Amino acid sequence: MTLKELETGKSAVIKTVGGEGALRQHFLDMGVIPGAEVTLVKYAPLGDPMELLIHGYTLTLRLADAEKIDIEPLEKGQNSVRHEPKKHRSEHPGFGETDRRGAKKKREPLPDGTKLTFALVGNQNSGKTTLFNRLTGSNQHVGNFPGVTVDRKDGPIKGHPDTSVTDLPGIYSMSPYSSEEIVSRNFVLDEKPRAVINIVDATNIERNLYLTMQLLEMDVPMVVALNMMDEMTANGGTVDINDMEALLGVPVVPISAAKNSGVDELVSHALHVAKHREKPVAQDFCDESESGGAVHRCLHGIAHLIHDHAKAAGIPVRFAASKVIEGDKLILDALKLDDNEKETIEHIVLQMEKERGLDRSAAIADMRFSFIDRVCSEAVTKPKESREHIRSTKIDRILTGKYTAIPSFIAIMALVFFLTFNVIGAFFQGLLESGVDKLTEICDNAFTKAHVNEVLHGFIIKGIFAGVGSVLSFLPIIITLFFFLSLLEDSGYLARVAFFMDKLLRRIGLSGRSIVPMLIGFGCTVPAVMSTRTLPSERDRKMTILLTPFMSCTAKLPIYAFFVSAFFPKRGAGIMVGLYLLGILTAIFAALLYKGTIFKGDAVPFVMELPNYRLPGAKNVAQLLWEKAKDFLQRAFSVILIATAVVWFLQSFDMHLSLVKDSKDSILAIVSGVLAPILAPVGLGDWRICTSLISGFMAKESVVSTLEVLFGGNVGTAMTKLSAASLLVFSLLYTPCVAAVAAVRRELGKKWAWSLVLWQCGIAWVMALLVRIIGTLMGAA
Amino acid sequence: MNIVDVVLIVITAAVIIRAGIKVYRQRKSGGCGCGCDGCTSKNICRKNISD
Repeated sequence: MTLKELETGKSAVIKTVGGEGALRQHFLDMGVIPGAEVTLVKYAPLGDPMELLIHGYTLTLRLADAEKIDIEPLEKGQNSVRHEPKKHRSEHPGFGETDRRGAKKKREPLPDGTKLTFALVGNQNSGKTTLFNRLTGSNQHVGNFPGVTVDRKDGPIKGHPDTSVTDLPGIYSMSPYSSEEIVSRNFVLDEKPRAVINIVDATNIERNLYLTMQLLEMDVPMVVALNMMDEMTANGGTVDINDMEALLGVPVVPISAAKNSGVDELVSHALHVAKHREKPVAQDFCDESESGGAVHRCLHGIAHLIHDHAKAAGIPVRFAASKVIEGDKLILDALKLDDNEKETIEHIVLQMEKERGLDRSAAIADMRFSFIDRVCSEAVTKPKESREHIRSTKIDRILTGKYTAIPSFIAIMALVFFLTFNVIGAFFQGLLESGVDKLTEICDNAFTKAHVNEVLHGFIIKGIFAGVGSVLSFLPIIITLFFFLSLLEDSGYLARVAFFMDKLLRRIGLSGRSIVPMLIGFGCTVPAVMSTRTLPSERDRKMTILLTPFMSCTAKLPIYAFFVSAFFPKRGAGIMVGLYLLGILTAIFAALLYKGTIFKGDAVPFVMELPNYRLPGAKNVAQLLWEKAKDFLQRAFSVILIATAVVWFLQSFDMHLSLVKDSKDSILAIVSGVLAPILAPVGLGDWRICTSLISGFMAKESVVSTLEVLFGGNVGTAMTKLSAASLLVFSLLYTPCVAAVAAVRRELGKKWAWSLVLWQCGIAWVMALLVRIIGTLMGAA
Repeated sequence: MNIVDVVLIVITAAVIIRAGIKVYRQRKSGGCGCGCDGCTSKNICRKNISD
């Protein structure tokens, strides 16, 4: 029987895990190993993927992948516990009772003043960035879906200027499945931090300890931070810290990063192990007595065989041996083994597979999980089902329910847009707009009274005030939209959207995980492009990057709001929603095109952890909003101000730098006139419109400020409704701004970035032409 | 040109130069300068990362 055939609510034990390559290794690393108990929670609303409960956490898996996993159903009441939990509990260490972990080789402490570097390593969504913020006092953004951190961040520990902590992306193992895993692994191996702070989610301890074991094999000084202990104890669970320290051979500190408890103790332990270079106590994870010691003998045999190569390559022997058995190509290449050695290794591994009855990857994963099982049965009292999980299950009955998931998603998004554009955002926008108008009027009157030079007066009032002021008034709308997007992200809902959208996205050649960058794209394309780093396949990553600019970012909102209020005041919400939908539909069309041409093949399998719902932290949300507001104001007073000044100058002077009476004779009119014939067929042949679109490449908001300056506030009478509709569609789809293009360039290279610019301009032109043709046929001209 | 003109020219020039420096610095450091991942990342070289 395969996992695909398991009924909802039923449990089974995994017998074999099929498939091959990196994906299979990823399954094994996530705990999908022979002998593990699995329960089918539910299917996604469209019937695929499925939600499973394994090792106490929720995992999603596609049916096609579940078909490769053989299972044996468990009867009700039956369970598959390998080790009986220990009854006795050891005495808890008191404050200052250190070094109970057994005798260790003493090393000379590092000289005073040596910079102590730390790597913060842990599973996705285990609270690394929250801890990083606590340790460093910084304000990095944290979220509640796997993969918020996509790049490393550094900072010194508060009160310890000679230290540096690096927050690494969340990983599940040291296998090279996704690029984050390679980044984190290379950081520990190549940059050699003085110590590793391994953050472990105590509520999901078994899966988290899998990474801990691989870090222990890397033989670097290390401290384990057991995070979310407050949640664990609140649900009746506990960890015998003394026992766990003895079993792992490294200091273990219970903490709650969110509540800032235990962090000081963690810092003192981390400083101690780094300063005294205290490596983990050497021990065997492979049990000599288990299955005739096949894995034990294989590991030790290979460790002896590759010892010199590992030493030369600077890779810890134990880690290298286990990776060689797993067939890790990057490690094999780095070891530069001789053909004879490779052949010998193959024979040893084949013998181990024969004796153990499992293939090499499964045998190593099983060895690790057996050890974890022992540790947990000795030192962990598992909590009852957490309140958070019970709450999440209840909420998910509606939000990921078979018939309610997609209607709920549409309703939530509609509510977000309605509140943003029609209620909250619109109200504050009105207030700010009247404030800006009042200030402009006061300054205008004051300049007139003071007989300020006419050119200067015009520049400040019709240039800077009109341009920057028009953009500033959209601040409330942008902040409101970001507020709702951050609520969705922090609550854990975005991960659910990825879960139930997977099947739909697969039809256009993507996996459910691509939905997260796309939703972020509704805020800003730059972080959206960066967030594609969590996608494990290069094909999916490239395709998602090329699609995110079609999602209408908040910088385009001022353009929409400006034209809607000037031309379609009664149909505002409809047109706004229509534009967003048009962006999505064009992205679907482009995805289908990519799928059939440059990105042939299948999307990556969907293996993702679903976090529990959490109440978004007020501080976190407020901080994000403040950052976005600050960013918007900075842009308004930097790039948009300059664009406005340049546009005003070029439209006020001719080629001889004489002031022009009619801006038709200005430098800008002559330069932009070159582009006008290209845009004339779509009804945007006016040189002023061409100029505003060029300035939009710098920052989208400056389309509005430029139009305001060039048309002197008379856009409503100077353009037709049809031209305005064409312009809206063109603005939605044409090239992303220079910051987004730079982000694409960083991720994919120059060729892709410039191809994207040309491709999007082409699509925008065609779509704007279609709007014009349809409008003309309907008699809207 | 009166004294108000001179004061206004100085203020306007200062504001524009400051904005120019800001834009230059933002572009140089990469990203849009908003402080998000795109702007603060260390840009780990991804060229050697294969599929």
